[in-house]
Amino acid sequence: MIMKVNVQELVGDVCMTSEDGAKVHDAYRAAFDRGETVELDFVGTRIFVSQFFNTAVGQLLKDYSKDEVQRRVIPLHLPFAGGAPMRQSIENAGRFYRDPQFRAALDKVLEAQAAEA
Amino acid sequence: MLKLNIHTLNEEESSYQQLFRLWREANGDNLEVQFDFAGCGFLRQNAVAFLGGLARLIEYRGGRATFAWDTLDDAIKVNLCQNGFMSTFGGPLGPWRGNSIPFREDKKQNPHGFVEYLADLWLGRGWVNISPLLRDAIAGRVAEIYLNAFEHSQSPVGVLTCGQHFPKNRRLNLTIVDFGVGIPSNVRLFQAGKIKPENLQASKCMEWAFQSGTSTRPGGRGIGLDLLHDFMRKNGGRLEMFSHQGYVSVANGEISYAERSSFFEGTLVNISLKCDDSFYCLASEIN
Repeated sequence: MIMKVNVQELVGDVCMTSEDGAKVHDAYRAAFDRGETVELDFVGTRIFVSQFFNTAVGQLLKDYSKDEVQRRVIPLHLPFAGGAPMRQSIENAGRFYRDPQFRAALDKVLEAQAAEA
Repeated sequence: MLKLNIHTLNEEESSYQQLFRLWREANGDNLEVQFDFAGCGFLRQNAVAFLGGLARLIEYRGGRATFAWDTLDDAIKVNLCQNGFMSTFGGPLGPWRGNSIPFREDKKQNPHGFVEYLADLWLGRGWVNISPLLRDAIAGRVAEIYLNAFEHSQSPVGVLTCGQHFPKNRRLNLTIVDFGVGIPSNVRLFQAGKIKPENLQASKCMEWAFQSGTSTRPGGRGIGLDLLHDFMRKNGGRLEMFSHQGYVSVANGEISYAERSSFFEGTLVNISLKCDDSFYCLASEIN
């Protein structure tokens, strides 16, 4: 089974914010958890920032392997500008969720920032 | 009252030293500050963005910042009117469209607004011959710098931006600045378990941050300027980044890191593109 998501219909032509990424993620997550393949159709989108992909796709790495995510989340019509941020987001998320030392170091930064806020 | 004398400010090292000295002088609470431009022959976009942010920082700390508009050289006055800086700070004349890319302050993150600003007002005015796809790709990469500032910097005055087209020199410039904690601060904290902060030079912190894939936030993205670096190399452009005493330069196909003598706690990014007769597009557009 393949679930198709039209990204532009959900968030417009600019894929930048975590909130927009979350909209995309929420649209397909249940299907992904059921074992379906997800096609993210980026037709009509233009501008991409990694922060969008962190929530659109990267957060899957908390529960799934990088290989599985890359196998079952298929980007279609992704402009060149989106390729690198998407790949980088998946790489970084994989590292964060699989590397406890990396995560501990990040937690320290976040604690310090929270204390100063 | 503290009078800050503003001398000619361009993009030389001495100008950044002057800007960061002004920041040190005004780095206090409840200050009454006047910016005086007698003796100032030129103000580039980096100075405009920086002085705007400095004025807001003074206000944030309970002080008041005023500008002695009558000390401005006429040509500079026209430019500060055109780019909207003057009207933002209570001056007499409003902005209009010309060779300036408007002065902009984002106290809160406005990603869509900023990316449209980059694509339409900076890159989209025909000063650099660039395909729409490459324009959008570059806008996305520069927007990462903007988003990084909001996510990491804790800047109390947000992010300030200004640009300028120089037709005679055939350059198109943009400066983005925040007055937050600076890149080295977060990198030192992140590395604290492995390396003592005092042993990690600011330039080394910048080098770490520039490596693709590094970040001090979960799922973060690093500065990751691969596409920008490639475009700079082909265009002959330049990108500079200043944070604490760290300095990064992307120019002539090389990335170099240096430790500077003067200190600025925030982060300033200056981008200069060459406006030549070449047409730039993504390799995939040719294939």
